[in-house]
Amino acid sequence: MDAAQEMKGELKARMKDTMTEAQIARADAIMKGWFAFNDYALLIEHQCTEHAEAIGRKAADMIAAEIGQSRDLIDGRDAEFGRILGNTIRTFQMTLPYQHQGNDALMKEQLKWMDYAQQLGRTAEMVQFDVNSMKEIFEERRYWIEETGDVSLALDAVTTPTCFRDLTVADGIEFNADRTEISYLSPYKRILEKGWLRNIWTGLTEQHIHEQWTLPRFAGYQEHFQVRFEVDPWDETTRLVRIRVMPAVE
Amino acid sequence: MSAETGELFARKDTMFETDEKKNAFMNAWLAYKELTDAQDKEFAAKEAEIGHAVAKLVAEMLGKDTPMIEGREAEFGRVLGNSFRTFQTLVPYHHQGNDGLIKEQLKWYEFAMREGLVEKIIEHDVESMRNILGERGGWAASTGRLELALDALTTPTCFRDLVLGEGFKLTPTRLEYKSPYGRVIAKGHQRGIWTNLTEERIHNIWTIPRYKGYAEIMGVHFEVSPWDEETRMISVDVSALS
Repeated sequence: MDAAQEMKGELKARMKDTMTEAQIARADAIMKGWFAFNDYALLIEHQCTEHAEAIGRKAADMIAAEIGQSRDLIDGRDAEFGRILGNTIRTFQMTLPYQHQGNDALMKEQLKWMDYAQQLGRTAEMVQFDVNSMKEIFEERRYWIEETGDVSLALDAVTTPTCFRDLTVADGIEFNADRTEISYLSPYKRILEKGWLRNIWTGLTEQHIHEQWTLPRFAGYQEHFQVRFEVDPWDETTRLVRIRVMPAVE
Repeated sequence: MSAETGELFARKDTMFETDEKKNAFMNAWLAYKELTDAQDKEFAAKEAEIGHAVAKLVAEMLGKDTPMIEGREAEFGRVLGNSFRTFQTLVPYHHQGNDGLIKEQLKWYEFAMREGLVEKIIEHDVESMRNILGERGGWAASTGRLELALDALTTPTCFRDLVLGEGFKLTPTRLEYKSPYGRVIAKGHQRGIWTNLTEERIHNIWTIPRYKGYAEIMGVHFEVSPWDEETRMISVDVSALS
């Protein structure tokens, strides 16, 4: 008997000892549901990969035409753009155990570290590390604000990076007319709740993230820019995060 | 926070030492911003329409009867708009679809390394996967299909999104991909950040121990290739525990 067969035999024996028939049947149904999803997702992915370059090019041309652009918006990176499309379509197929969205991976990465920080009692320190690591880039922006007198460049600096855009890509963001205020739906709820079912991230809530991470990070960032960020307190009903930027001294 | 970490923040500006350079970068950025803000507006106004049209196009190219986005046209359109935006970001380096995720990881890897927390965080990471991977190990064992262990490692969005820039190859017993961090680390070094990190260190200190921990939970063996500075390729072979 090879090692894989031996492993299979051992597991079946252990399952019989530790699980009821109903539990075994449920586990089996979940497994088969997953296999069905996975076979389909792999097929789509395989097809997308095979045609990544053509898909990327045609989609890019179609989008450029839709938004009235004549230049090549993906800079000849057809296959890379095609891979993004394939990956996104694959993510959209993942509806078990919850409907996955485009920000799924980034959120999970963040939640893992936030949970770790909380368990170790090092949240404030990690927030400070994050704030400090942005010092050089944001101080450069302070120079831009001084040169142009445009404080919206501070809000632009914290919302332009891929980290922010990717995080809010599922539900989107909204700026006011002069781009001094942004609002977005807190993105974590769906994933957090599924994590709790798996007994992970149990110390985290959206309110905790807002108060222990979002507020102090923006309070730290504003020092780099020499502006003032006003972040609304957590609202459990709307789950809307609203941030305004204004000169430090009015 | 350690003295070494504190020292990180006393560093001097490394990229823009003259006003001329600062102004050139500022003007380039403002031009980029004007372009992408306008493009964002165009996109936002039509995101559902664009999402639908592109999903339909892809479905037709793949020979599918229906778009595969289940009525989530606007959400799909936002992902496309965001990807286009990322592709326009060529300054100070050519951004890719995995940029946000890579930076999030690098920030905390750097923190953990500076603070001597690497082993603990890997333990935390592996433990946080115990429930899910334990289930997958059970599936691999109950079906005798070892590839399910490699599938469990690569199916999550965390892996797929990370390797989006260059892609990956997967067979039932082997995974191959190019280390995705090189481009972003190099730019970070110019800014005086992530200076403790190299792709080799990430491979040896993060990737290998994490994959070993996952394999242990699933009751299989992962053979992870040693770091190769020339190819930057990583391979993982799965086999049954002997």
